[in-house]
Amino acid sequence: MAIGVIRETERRPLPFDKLGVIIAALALYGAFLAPFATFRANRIVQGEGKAILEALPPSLGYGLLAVVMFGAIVAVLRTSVLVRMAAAFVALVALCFLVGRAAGSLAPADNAYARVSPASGFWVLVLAFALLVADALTRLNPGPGLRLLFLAGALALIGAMLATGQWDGLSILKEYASRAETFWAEAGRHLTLALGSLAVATAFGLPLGILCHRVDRLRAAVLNVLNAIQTIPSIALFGILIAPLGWVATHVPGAQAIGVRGIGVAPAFVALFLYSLLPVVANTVVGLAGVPRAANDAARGLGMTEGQRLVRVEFPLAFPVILAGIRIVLVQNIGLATIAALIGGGGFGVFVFQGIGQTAMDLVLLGAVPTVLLAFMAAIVLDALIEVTGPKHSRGKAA
Amino acid sequence: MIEFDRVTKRYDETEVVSDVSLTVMPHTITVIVGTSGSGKTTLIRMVNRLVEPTSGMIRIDGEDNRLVPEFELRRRIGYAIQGHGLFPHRTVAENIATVPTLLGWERARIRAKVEELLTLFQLDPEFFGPRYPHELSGGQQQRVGVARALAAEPNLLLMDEPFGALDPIIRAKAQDDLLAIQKHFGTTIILVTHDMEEAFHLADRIAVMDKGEVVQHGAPAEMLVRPATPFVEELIGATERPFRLLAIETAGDAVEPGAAEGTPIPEGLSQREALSELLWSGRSALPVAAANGSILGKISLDGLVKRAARPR
Amino acid sequence: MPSLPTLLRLAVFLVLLAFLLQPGLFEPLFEPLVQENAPAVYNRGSLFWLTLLHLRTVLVATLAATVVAVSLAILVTREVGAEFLPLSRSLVNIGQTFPPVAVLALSVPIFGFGEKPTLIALFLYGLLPIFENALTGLTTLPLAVIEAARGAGMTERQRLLQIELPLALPVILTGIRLSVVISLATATIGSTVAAKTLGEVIIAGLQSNNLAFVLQGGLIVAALAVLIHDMLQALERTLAGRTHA
Repeated sequence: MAIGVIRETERRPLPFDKLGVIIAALALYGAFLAPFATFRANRIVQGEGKAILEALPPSLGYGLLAVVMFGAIVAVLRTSVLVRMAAAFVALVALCFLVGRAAGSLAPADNAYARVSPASGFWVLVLAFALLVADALTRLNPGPGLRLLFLAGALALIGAMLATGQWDGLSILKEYASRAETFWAEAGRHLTLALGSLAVATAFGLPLGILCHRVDRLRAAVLNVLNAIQTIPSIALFGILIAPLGWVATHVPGAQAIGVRGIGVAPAFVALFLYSLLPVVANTVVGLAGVPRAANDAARGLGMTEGQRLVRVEFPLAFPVILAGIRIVLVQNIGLATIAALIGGGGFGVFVFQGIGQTAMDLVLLGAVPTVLLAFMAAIVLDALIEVTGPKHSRGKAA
Repeated sequence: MIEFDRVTKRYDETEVVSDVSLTVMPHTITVIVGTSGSGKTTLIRMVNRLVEPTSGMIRIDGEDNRLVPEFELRRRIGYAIQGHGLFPHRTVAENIATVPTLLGWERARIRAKVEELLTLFQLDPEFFGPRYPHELSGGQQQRVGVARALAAEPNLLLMDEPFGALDPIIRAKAQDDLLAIQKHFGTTIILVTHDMEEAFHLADRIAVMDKGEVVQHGAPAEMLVRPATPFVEELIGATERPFRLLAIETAGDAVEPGAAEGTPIPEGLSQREALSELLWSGRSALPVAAANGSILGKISLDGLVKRAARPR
Repeated sequence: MPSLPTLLRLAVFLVLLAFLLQPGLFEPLFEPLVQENAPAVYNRGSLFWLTLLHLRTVLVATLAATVVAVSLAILVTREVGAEFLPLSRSLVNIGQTFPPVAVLALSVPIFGFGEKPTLIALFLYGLLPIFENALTGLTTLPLAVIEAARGAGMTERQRLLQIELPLALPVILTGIRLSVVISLATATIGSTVAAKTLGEVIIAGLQSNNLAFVLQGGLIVAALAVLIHDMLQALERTLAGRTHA
């Protein structure tokens, strides 16, 4: 009898959520044991950590602790997905809002040298609740449209925070304030590099991929060469291209007029283009090879010409796979464009490498954070696109 | 002896097995038949506790099967499944040696056992032992699967559609092999299938399952004569009844004294196959021969017709 | 008789080894690339030694990443960790959108300059492909095989060690291969935060406008990547060839 009773209780799921326990532990560590913000008298000196209650006025400090505790409890208990989502969202908004307030209360606005930046406790809390959001989103399994909506909402929130000056006291924005113009110039250069090289790579890669699909002997050779290019480390490839482009600039009439130079944007652009070719070409080949033979036979049987078959049958069917290749390229390019700074190509890498050189971490963040955000956005948007264009299959119901 | 005692298995709201009580006698072959989704696979998976019953008890030789840890229980029970489930990264010999190795047998004893089983299944140990499963044909893989299940000399062998993936000719051969091996080891076998032909060919007792319940359990002949429900009748197929009846017993059981002309029929052949031989040869009787070749008597068309009639 | 590609790889390996041990021999080859009076072969340290350090960094990071990634994958595919499976899949997807440079740059404030941030960045970045592949390997095992292993009375541990891991091994190795190739290239960026890798050669070339240095650093890394990639791929094929028809 007794054994039977134990068995019954064993079957019942635990009353608390395992992931929630980890999230709550992280949240408690972040809230009580780790510093919330770092205060530095000036840009380069060692900072001192401040706990939540030291960094914020009491009412806000206790308020934040209450929100964090509430979020932790919601995470631990087996609550509904929407409740978890809402609790995590509230906690994240409170954290983002209050980290700006911490800057205001730790360093008076008239002190131009003092720096306040988010410290490990803040990042751990953000991580904890971001995990909760990610878990809730995974369980909700939203469609592509809804995902884009979430992204737009998050961006709008960040935009509002920035526009209303909530974060102006934070050191990363002080770095921004002192070089706002360069920031946008480098941002433009970064996007030009990442998107421009992608556009050119697509324009070259698609026809090359189609050609490789049709001509067996070409396929292996082209893919091998492109694979080999991928193994050359990015800084080396950027550097290697300096010489040939320098030669072109001085010897080909008109080359300089269109911006070809030995150092700067040109070698970075060409290097990114070369890296981008493999995913585009390879995915075009895979996509076309995956077109069902029956669909091709039917198209031939209906009397389509080669060109019609390519445009109306093969290409639409291969499109999601090609798009997946473009996603890989875009995310990869946004990251790699950072390296361009090393050869004078500009982009967000300028701040990253300057910051590393000056051991000014706020400056590193000014370069790294937008890069990560861009890559992340690109991934979400293109994943949604791939899903919309992909084969329609029934989605699992949310658990 | 295996006793199912009011066994029920429920997943959430759906009852897959409902209150099944069934006794399987030792050294017999019990075949559980039913359509897919009837709960027959779940029922045998509860014997070696791959599935735990929601309520009820299964006793093996009088002992509750939950008294020993599940992995020990499973090592004592042979288990063969459709598509054989051979470990692709292990050789045939290593596959067969799985349970003996788990039980910690000595190496020499394991090697001897593997050789014995391979020989028994007409696979040359020298040639097949070191091969990997993907180098074998479907029929050979299936034989290795059964050999693996028998390696630790279990008293009980559970088989879940073991011949389901084989083509008809190889399947018939595998079934005959199984009968021979059951005789050789005296193993108690519970076999699940949806193939009535297979059930009548192999079974000492048949249990018919429908929607989680055992609707009839008995000797094959009894099932033909007195189907318990319209479902059983439909499963057997009304037009097949006389032939199924003949398929149960062997030619040896129908021997009449006297002599006949023609090629002798082996006594192990089913009466149904003997009838087929008679019809095809155009004769009214054929001699029946024992395994050693001696003539036991004859088998006649008239005799078989009588046997195929509905028993009273 | 070894095939042509094998011979080609052997040749690449021998040339690489000769270059690392006797770089002076190759001087005439690089001379046209540099301005007068500039050194044609890297002269600020031993290329051989830097290569070893480069390989050591990648090896340590990859080993750690493999241990952690495979353990995590095992954990989330057991009953205890099943709750984490869906989340860990999405985290891997998100994680792979992080640029390696950003991971490196962000680990500097936490771990300082030198070897450490490079190791951490390579480790974190290397986790993802290995974890992803280990998950794929462990969740796509043939059902009948697992069923047979349970039916044979293997304990959960025996099943994992004797059946599941060996069968998932080729797929896990693919993940390790991807991770190693990414790490070999990313490690060069580590030299911007003062890690001792072949990136030093490239950066020295960029700073002194010496194309030969850039080329030397880049080609050594590329040759290493190609050789190691092919070696691991051959290993995978041997392992997979045994288990698949």
